[in-house]
Amino acid sequence: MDCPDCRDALSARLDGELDENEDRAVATHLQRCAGCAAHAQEVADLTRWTRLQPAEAMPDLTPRIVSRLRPQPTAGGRQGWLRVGLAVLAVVQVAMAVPDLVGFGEHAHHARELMAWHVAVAAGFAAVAWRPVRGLGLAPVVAVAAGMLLATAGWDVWAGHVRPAEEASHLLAPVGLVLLWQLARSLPMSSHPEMAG
Amino acid sequence: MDELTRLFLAARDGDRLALTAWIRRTQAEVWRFCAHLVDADEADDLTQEVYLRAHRALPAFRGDASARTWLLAIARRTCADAVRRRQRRRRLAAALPSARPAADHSHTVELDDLLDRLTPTLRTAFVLTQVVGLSYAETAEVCGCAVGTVRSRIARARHQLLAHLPGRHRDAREGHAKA
Repeated sequence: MDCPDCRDALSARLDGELDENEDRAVATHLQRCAGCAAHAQEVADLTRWTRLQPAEAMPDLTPRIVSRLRPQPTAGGRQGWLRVGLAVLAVVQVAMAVPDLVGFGEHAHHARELMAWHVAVAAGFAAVAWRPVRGLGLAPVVAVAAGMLLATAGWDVWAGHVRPAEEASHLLAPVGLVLLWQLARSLPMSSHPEMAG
Repeated sequence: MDELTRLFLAARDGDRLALTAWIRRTQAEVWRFCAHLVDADEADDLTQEVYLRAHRALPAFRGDASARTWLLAIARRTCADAVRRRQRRRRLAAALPSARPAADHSHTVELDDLLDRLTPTLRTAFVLTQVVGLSYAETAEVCGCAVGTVRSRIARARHQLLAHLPGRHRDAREGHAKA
């Protein structure tokens, strides 16, 4: 090991970044070289001095920093997909409701009323997909409607009044409810009125 | 997963309270870095700027670096502009007839005066390892260079510092001998 390499290694040694082989080579060199030995002492003193600087008092900048940070939507990823999912669901629900809305026959009246509800729920999902924070105000209504649709459809299927296939469209609402719930969880807390300010 | 990483990831996912807590816990390190790399007077503003940039970049954090080196890398880039501005100002001031006298090299010289002697590149590596306490590997991540580069930069920094103030350390050694 020559002197330039030794001085480089001495620096790394002070920071604990030297491996065993280099460490041994340095020790050997120092025994033979007075110049580097003196340098080693100087560098050690310098290091001790720089590290023993008193910690400066710093103010707590947190309030000032946080007040400047605008509330931001979470990573587009998950929230984006949830919103798209809700929008698609809304469209599908309306599409499935259309035939019954314009149908005829003795049960057409009831079917129409039911489908009107489906469209309303779909509108709720679409509203949340469009404006998640504002749209969440509709959540209680949508949740109850979706829950009721699922419950009544489940009962009818179980009681044999209808075939499962006919009730499949009712499953869309609960699925939408799950998406809604996930979206609500993913929103930044600063959106909640209690957390603002 | 340690508490600080947990807070950081929660902040990334939109948890405002976690973000506030994470800022409170990491600000001292960022502030100290800015104070020694640039100037203690500018450190408050610089720290705020660092967190502003960090907050904007937060959603895109993928975990390929540690949160600590990620934040300090942002701090490094933020400070780089400030350093360039100061250098321009200083060159301008030195060119004027009423330039200030050279700094006093007696015992009262402080760390920042010392660090001022280093180029920004060397100073960055030196502050990150000696003041902030990062390893060479972490410093390499922050600076976007190889570990070997960090090592040689610090060795050169020490060499330059010693060259500027050999007197101080002779006194320090004598002080130790007397004590």
